[in-house]
Amino acid sequence: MFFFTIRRLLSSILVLLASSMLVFALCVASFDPLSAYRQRQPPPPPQFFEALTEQLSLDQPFFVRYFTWLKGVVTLDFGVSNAGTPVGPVLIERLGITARMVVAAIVLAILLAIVVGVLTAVRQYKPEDYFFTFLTYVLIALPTFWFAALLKEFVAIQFNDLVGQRILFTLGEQSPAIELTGTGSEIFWDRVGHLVLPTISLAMLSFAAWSRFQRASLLDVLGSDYMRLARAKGLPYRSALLRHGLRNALIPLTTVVALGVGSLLGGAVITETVFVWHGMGEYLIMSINADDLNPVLGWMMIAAFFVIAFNLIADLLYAVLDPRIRLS
Amino acid sequence: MSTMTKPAHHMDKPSAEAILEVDNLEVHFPTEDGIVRAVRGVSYRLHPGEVLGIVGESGSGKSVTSLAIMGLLPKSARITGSVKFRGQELLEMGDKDLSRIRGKGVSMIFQDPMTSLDPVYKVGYQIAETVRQHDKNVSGKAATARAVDLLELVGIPNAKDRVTSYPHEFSGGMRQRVVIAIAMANQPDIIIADEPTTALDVTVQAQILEVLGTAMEETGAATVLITHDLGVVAGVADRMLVMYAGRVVESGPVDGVYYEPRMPYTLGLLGSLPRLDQTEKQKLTPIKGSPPSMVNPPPGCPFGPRCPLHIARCDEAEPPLTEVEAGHWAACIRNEKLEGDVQATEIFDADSTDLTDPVVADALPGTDAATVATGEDRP
Amino acid sequence: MTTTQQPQNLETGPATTTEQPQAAQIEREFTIKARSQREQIIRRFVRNKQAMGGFVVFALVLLIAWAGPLVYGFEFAELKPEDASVGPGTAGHLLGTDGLGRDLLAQIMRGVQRSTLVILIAVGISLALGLLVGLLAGYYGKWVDNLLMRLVDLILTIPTLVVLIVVASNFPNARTAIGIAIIIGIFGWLDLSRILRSQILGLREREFIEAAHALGASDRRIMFKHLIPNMLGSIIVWATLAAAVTILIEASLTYLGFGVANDISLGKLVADGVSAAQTRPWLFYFPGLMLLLIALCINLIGDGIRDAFDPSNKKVRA
Repeated sequence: MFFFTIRRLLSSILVLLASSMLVFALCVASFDPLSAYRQRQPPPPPQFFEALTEQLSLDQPFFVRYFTWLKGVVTLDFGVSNAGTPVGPVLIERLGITARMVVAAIVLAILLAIVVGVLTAVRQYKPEDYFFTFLTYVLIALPTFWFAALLKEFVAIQFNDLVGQRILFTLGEQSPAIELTGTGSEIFWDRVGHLVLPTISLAMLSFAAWSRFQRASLLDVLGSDYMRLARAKGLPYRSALLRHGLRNALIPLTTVVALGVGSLLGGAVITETVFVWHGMGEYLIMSINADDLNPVLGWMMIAAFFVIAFNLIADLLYAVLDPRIRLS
Repeated sequence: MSTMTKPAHHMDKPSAEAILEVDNLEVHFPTEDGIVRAVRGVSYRLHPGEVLGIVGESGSGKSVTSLAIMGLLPKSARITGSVKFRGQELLEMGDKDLSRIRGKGVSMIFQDPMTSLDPVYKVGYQIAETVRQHDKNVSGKAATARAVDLLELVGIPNAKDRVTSYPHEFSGGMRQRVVIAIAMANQPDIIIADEPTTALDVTVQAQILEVLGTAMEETGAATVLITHDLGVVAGVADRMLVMYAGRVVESGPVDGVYYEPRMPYTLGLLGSLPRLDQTEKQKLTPIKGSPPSMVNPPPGCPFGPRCPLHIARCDEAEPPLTEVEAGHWAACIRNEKLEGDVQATEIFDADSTDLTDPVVADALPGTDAATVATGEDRP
Repeated sequence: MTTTQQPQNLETGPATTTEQPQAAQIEREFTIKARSQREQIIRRFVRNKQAMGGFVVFALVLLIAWAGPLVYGFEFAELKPEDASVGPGTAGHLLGTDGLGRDLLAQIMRGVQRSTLVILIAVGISLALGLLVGLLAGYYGKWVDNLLMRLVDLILTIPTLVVLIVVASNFPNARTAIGIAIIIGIFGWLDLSRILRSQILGLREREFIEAAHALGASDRRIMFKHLIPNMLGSIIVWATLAAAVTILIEASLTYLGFGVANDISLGKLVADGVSAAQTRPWLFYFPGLMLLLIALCINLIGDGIRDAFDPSNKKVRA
């Protein structure tokens, strides 16, 4: 098990490295940090561009630029943006903000997916199955931003009116400057209020896909010989279901969840835009629109890091849960 | 063939009190093509300590019968009739009551040992689980100790070490031994073995039958041995049932049925077995055609279309089981034609199977046009 | 007893052969009528209520989108400033108008037309690329397989939406439906290549491939005549699901500002409608619901096709 972990860890680091090269190539080809100046009227003199090009090392060969940047990244120095602000601290801060939404969405989606997946599998072809199957079909067909907008424009207001109090917030990740005026507990609950709707919008698509997967996985297991043997031994249906059915059926879900991280990050960009959060998503869009190379590079590296890290966790988790992998 | 000897107590006359009474069991499955009548009126009695062999082709309903007894069929199955275990009606029981009987009153061994055990739990755990399920007072330690004992009984070497192994660390034969250990753990009154050797290599088959014999001896259980292998039944069973198209078509003591089958299907089956002990060369007699569809069985004997003794009267109604000798029943209106020592080759035409017969051809594998290499593949 | 030299074409089943008298005797009413594989698949699909429902509705939508403009009073590009921002049912505008007085229903019909084009182009490109990579990786195996699959894994470490955004930002002139379709297509083949590759790895071992090899069939022939037909099920299922994903991605891209700009597409209508949600809800709801409906139907059809090819999914469990 130990060597398995070491091998997977090394492999992941290599993938991260390769990914960094791909990311760098993609971004360097796409973004020109000087484009803002090129569009100025009247355009600045050629010496201006020459000086900046040299200063930003834009004339160096690709690999030199790559390694320079990579050295920085390894020491968590992501360079500076076009405006001169260090990218690293901004990324970290915004990461914290986005992480709240993403983590909450993952947890919500997993819990709901397991509950609904098990329910619809055990009650196959009954009304509950049809209802949830219909629901998941609709959720999968829904554009995330439209659903988020629906929640934002209509559900929030109705809900707040119903309760008589402003519980659900729709703009930003917290009320402006609340750290300055509120107590710890007030800040916390304010943030929760802002978290609810974005989390729901982000979680719904993943929940729908994962619950259908979980349903299929459990149905497979329910038809297996070892389930039949468990019942033939004298285990009542529920014990057999929980101890043998679920235990086996949850294993594939770990892989599916890990592989879904990428799409969740993409979804987070959309959700942040709808709810105007000042997180990673806004930063990315801003930077792309401004042809800001370093922030986009930093963003992509962090995203790649998390995707690869989650894949690694999924592999290790799979080995822990399934002895056949562990001992091979 | 089996090298197993029957345990001594089987030579005693079985007691008159039947431990399992199956009466007119019928099982129907709704499918998109219609209702499949998998079991159409099966009745038999099982006595303590007795070994009953049930023989039939795939689709004859032999496995479905046993699953119905255990209550392990899908919820869509419609089951009618009566199954009484020690006088209790099993078909009326709910899952909770049935699960008290499963694994303790009646145990089951399934066909494929590679998939019968849960891959994520240790073997010892899975044995201990059945022990503790039926006796809540047994501690984990005690149950594990019992698991070790059982593993030794079924012939697993190094039982103490292997008790903490996972199923995938065992070979198919060893896994089947574990399954047998689980089945005998709680001293059941009945063990149902559903094709226990079909998925195993021939050399391993004999070993498993021996283990089964050990299980029967240790527990004193009556055994229902379901198989399509006539050789296995010959060496092991006291009585046997022959099933075809969801019904029993012949039943009786093993010797009686083997030496003097009174139903053409049984005769055909016996005739299609290659035999090492014949001194003169004899042709095998394959039975033409395939078993009928269970969706719309027409009136009359289901074996009719394939039967060399078929006459018009056979199609009028399904022949009832009639007692042709003491304790020997057969469902054929012309069974007297098979009295005495009738060879299969006399009744069945050994030369006549036509492999281009579309019904036969249909049964051959790989008939998808998309998966056939044709002459055009030549460059 | 007749013997045959050629392998029989058994696709149409025994119902068509009538030579031997024993055949008729045995057949009687005992066997269920044999059907060709294609018939069986179509039959299973038609029986699936949800799938057929999706199919019918989708067909209706397409019909309205393409035939509607011929009978409807307004054109999608027609500006009627005097009717700007009116609600549904006013002045003959069945679904209302936008800020410039353009009829919403006309725009939606045009948008569906354009989005259909987007689907065809994007899925077409992805299909070609996915087939290429999947076939190469699965058929030739070893280092080719390794290299290609590692490449796929690598590209997947970056969230697809972000890759699309970055690439789209490079081509500000390609902000039309077709341009976006091409970009989506170029990156949409990754999962297909994986699916096909693993299928081929399985098929490769089967005897009929060995037999074709032994007969001397060329690699190309094996791929096109034997492998692809056996993967048709997976391909069709993938294509339908990819179609649904395509229009959703196109909509999201447009919403973020990197998608369709100089053209009309359903996605653009939905994206534009978001900002009008409070003041002119019809601009928000109708395009959104139409997009939802289309994606839903496509998904139902895709699942129906999958179940038709492989009905083992529908087995009832004990």
